Amino acid sequence: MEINRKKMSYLNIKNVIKNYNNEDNIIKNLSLKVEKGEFLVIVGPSGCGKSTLLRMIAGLEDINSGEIEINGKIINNVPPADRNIAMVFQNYALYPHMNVEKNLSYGLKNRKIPKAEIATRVKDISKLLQIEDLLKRKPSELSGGQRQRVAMGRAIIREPKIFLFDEPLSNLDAKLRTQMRIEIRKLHDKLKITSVYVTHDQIEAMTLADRIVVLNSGIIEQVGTPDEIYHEPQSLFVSKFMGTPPMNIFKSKVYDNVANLFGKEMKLDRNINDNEVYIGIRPEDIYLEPIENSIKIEINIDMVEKLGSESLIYANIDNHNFIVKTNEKINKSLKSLYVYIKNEKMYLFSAKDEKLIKKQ
Amino acid sequence: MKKVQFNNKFIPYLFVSPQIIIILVFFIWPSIMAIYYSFVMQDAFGVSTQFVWFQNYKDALLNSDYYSSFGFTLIFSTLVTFFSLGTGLFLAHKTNSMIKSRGIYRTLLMWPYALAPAVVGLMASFFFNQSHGDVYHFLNQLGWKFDPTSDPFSAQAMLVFIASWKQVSVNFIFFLSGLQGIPKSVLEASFIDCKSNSKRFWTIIFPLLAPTTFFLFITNITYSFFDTFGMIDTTTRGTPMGETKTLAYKIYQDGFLGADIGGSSAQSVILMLFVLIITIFQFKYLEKKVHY
Ligand SMILES: Nc1ncnc2c1ncn2[C@@H]1O[C@H](COP(=O)(O)OP(=O)(O)OP(=O)(O)O)[C@@H](O)[C@H]1O
Ligand SMILES: [Mg+2]
Repeated sequence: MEINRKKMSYLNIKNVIKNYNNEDNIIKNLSLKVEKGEFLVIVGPSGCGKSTLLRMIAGLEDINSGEIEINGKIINNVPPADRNIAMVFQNYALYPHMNVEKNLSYGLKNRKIPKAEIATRVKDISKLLQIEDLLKRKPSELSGGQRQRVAMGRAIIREPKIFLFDEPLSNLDAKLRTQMRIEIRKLHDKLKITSVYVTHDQIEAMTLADRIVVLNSGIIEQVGTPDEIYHEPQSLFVSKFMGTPPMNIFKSKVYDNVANLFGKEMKLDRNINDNEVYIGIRPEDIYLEPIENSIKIEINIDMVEKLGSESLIYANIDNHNFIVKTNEKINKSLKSLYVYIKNEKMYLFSAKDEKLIKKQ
Repeated sequence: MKKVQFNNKFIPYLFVSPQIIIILVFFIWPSIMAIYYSFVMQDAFGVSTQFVWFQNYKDALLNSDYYSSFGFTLIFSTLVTFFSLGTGLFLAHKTNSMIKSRGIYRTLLMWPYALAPAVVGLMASFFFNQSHGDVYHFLNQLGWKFDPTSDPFSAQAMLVFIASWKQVSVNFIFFLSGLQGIPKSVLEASFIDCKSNSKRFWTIIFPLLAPTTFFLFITNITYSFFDTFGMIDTTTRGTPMGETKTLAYKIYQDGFLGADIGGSSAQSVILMLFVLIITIFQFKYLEKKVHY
C-alpha cells in the first residue's frame, strides 16, 4: 500500500501537442508521468522544446491538444497563479523595483497570507538560503549567485506543489554552478517537493536527477535513471548526447553477424538483421593493454589532454575521430598507439531506426 | 571608457562653443533682457526709460488677475498632465497586449504628434464652433449648455480636452516603448505570483514604468505651461472674462497687446523662477524614487 501511494503520479502529461502560430509541432504527442517528490530532469539540445514543455506545465503557454493533470485534476485552463507551481527562470526574473524581502513576500501577499506568517516564512527561507543580510537590497545590488538564491527563495517560500526550473544555473560561472547544483539537490532532499528541471547540461542532469527525460525535437527519446540513461542508452541520439567526452560512433557493414572495424573483422555477440549498424564505444571502455576477446587497432594521436588523474587522447583512424579516456600516464610526444576494444563493451544501434540492438 | 586628452586647454571649449552660443543667444540673453526690463518702466513709445526697482513685481503680484491666471494655469496643467498621461498609458497598455495589428495602432495614434499646437487649436475651433461645430451640438444635445464663448467652464473644459488630446500621442509612444522594455520573464513571474490583472498592473508594470512616467510628467507639465500658447491663441484668446489665460498667455497679452513690457517681464521672471523651483523639486524628490 505504502509503495503504491509513493508511486502515484503527481504530474501527468497526456498526449500533449504544441505548436506556435499553427506552424510545425514543437511538442509532438508527448506523454510523461512525474511521481510525487521526484526530481525529474529534462535534457535535450537547444530548441528541442524543453522550455516550451515547462511553460505549458506552468500555464504560461497554451496547449494545442492533450491534457496536463496535477494531483488528478486537469489544469489545462487553470491560470498560472492557481496551479500551485513555482518557477525559477534562467535570468532569475526578480522584480527589479522591489528589495529582496518584497520579492520573497510578493506572491504570499497576493494570496492573502497573514502578515505574521509571511514574516516567519521570509525569515526561515532567508536563513535557509543564507540571504538574511541581503533582505533590504534591490536585485541590481546583488551578485549573480545571490540573485540565484533569491530566485530560489521566491519559489520555495510559496511552498508549491511543483517546482519548475528552466536552466536556473546557466548564467553562473563554473564553480558557482557546481556549488548551487549541490545546494539544489540538498534542498530537494530536505523539502521533497516534486521538481521538473530543464537543462542542456548533462552533468547537471546526471547529478541532480532521480530520473532523466531525454528530449529530441519534441519527442521523448528515453526516460530513465541516470545510470540507465548512461549505461543503457536506447537510441543513437541518447548515446551521443549523454557522456563527456561523447561516445565514439562508427558505422559498419555487417555480414553474418560479422562487423568490419577499420579493416579488422569482428564476430558480434548480437543478432543483426540489417546489413549495417552503428557501433558505439565509450572513451573509458577502450583499453591500452591487451585483453581477452578484443581486437587491436592502431590510432594516430592528434592531442593528449591531461586532466590530472586521467588523460584524454584525441586521435583518429582513417579520418574518424576517436577519443580515449585513460588513467595511465601518456607521453605527450607519442604519435600513435595500439588500443584494444571489446565486443561486449560495444553499443550497437540499427542503421535504420537508430534504436539499440539489445544483447541476448 | 578612454578619455581623450587635449594638449591645448581651449580646444574642448571650441568644440562645445556652438552649443554655448545657441544657449547664450536664445536662452540666456532673453532671460537677462527680461530681468532687465522687469526692473524698468517705459512709456508707450519706448522713449523714456526709468529704473523702478520692484515696482513691476509689486504691480503684478498685487493684481487679482494675476492670481486667477495663476490658479487657472495650475488647474489646467494638472488636468492636462493627468488626462494625457492616463490616456497615453491606457492606450499603450492595451496596444501592448495586442498580438495582431499593433503596428497600425502605433502609427495611427502617433499622428496627432505631427500637428502644431496652433493647428490643433484651429481644428478645435471648427469642432467646437457654435454655427457648425459637431462637438458643440453633440455636447448641447447631451444636455450640457456648452458654450465656450460665454461660459468660462465650457471654454476651460474645451482647452483641457484639446491640450490633452494633442499630447496623448507622445505619451502613448513613450509608454509603449517603456512597456516593451519590461523583460518578458519578469511579467511571467508575476503571472505566477499574482492572479489579478489590475493588481499586477499596479504592483509590477506601473512601478517598472516609473522612469518613463517621471520623464513624461516633467515634459507634460512644461508642455501645458508653455506649448499650449498656440492653442489658446487660435481658440479662446483668454476669453471669456479672462478665465482661460495661462500665465504664458497673460504675459504675451500684457506685453504685446497691452504694451506693458516691464509688467510682463516681471511676470516672466516670476514664471521662470516658479518653473525652476518645480523642476528642482521634481528632480530632487521624485527622481530618487523612480530609479531601481
Ligand atoms: N513564442 C514563440 N513563438 C514561436 N516559436 C517559438 C516560441 N517560443 C519558442 N519557439 C520555438 O519553439 C522551439 C522550441 O523552443 P524552446 O524554447 O522550447 O527550446 P529549448 O529546448 O528550451 O531550447 P534552449 O535550450 O535553447 O532554451 C524552437 O524552435 C523555438 O524557435
Ligand atoms: Mg529554453
